[in-house]
Amino acid sequence: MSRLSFHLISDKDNTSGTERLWNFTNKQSDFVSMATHQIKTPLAGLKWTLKMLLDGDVGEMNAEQKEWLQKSFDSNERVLLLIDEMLDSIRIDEDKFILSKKEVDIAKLFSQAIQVLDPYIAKKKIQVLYEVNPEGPIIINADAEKLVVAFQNLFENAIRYSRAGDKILIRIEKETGDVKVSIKDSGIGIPELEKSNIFSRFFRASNASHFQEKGSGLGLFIARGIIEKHGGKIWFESSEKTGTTFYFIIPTT
Amino acid sequence: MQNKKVLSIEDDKFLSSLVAKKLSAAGYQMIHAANGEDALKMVQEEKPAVILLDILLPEMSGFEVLEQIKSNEETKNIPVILFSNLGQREDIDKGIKLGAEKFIIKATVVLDDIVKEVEQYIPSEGVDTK
Repeated sequence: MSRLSFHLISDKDNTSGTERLWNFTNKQSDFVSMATHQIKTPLAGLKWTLKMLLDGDVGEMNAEQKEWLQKSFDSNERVLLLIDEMLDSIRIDEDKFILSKKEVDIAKLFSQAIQVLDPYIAKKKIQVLYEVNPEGPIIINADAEKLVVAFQNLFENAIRYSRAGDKILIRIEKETGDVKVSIKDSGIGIPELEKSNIFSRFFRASNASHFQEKGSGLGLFIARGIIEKHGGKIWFESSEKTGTTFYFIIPTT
Repeated sequence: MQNKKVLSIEDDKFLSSLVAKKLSAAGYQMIHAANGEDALKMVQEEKPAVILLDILLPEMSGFEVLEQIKSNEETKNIPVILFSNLGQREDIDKGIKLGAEKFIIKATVVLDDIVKEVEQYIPSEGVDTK
């Protein structure tokens, strides 16, 4: 990767601002960071255009046209998300995932993170039970933004591999010096022989690949990276066709 | 009369045309520069009310443009919104440290969000939306 960046830099003699930003590039994540920037620029343009068309900013569309445009918009969003996930996973690999810690109320943080996924929960008619023990704020020293990514990846997985009408139970418990979080679904579960691969990058269980829902295979890899970076650990219990519970603990300080 | 000028500093023609279309429709007076040198001249001459600044620009980077705007007595109080697809923590921290009001990652927003952001500095009651 660094060889490629060297060629890009040496293409021109007079160094531009963009190229100077390239000059520190010797790691895969730096290369990918720059490459994703370049890919995201036209995709942002596409996103904004589709939204303007959907909003009728350049004339009204009929219902069928809007439906197809909405599908294009959603598809573009998936590509953008995938790009961010790939970059995150490379940064985790290279230990370049920098945490910016401050005191946060994890009970409130995750409650808000659940709300973000309300449309998805409603679409699949999932019943979400949220238990915090003890009730009230649970303060920990963590990178709120990244912790929400880890939590949402686990929670989205639970929704994705649940059947319509299933329940998901989220429990947050305070233990001595730690917080323990569990996300229990009654979905398709993980096949016994594939359990050891579940946190590998791009791995998707065979029953998940056959399931209708799409997934990148990066969510659990990223979630584990974030939890471990916080000095915590993540594990799961699962049986096929019955459901999966993911657990993680992180130190409060 | 209220200053309704928004300077968009963006080297991608497609993106700058979309930003200009949306913000003009919302009643703002759009001016545009595609590189740092032109941008600094425009900031000095036009005194925009808000600046939208990309980071990866030809010749001079957006961070350098920001630094120059903020180190000039005449222009240092103009709000600058960094508007880029870079968005790692170190990029955001650097931008805020150099004096940007906000750091917005292009691909995470739609243009209505940019209109709302600009409205914070140029209230819409002062804008002619006819």
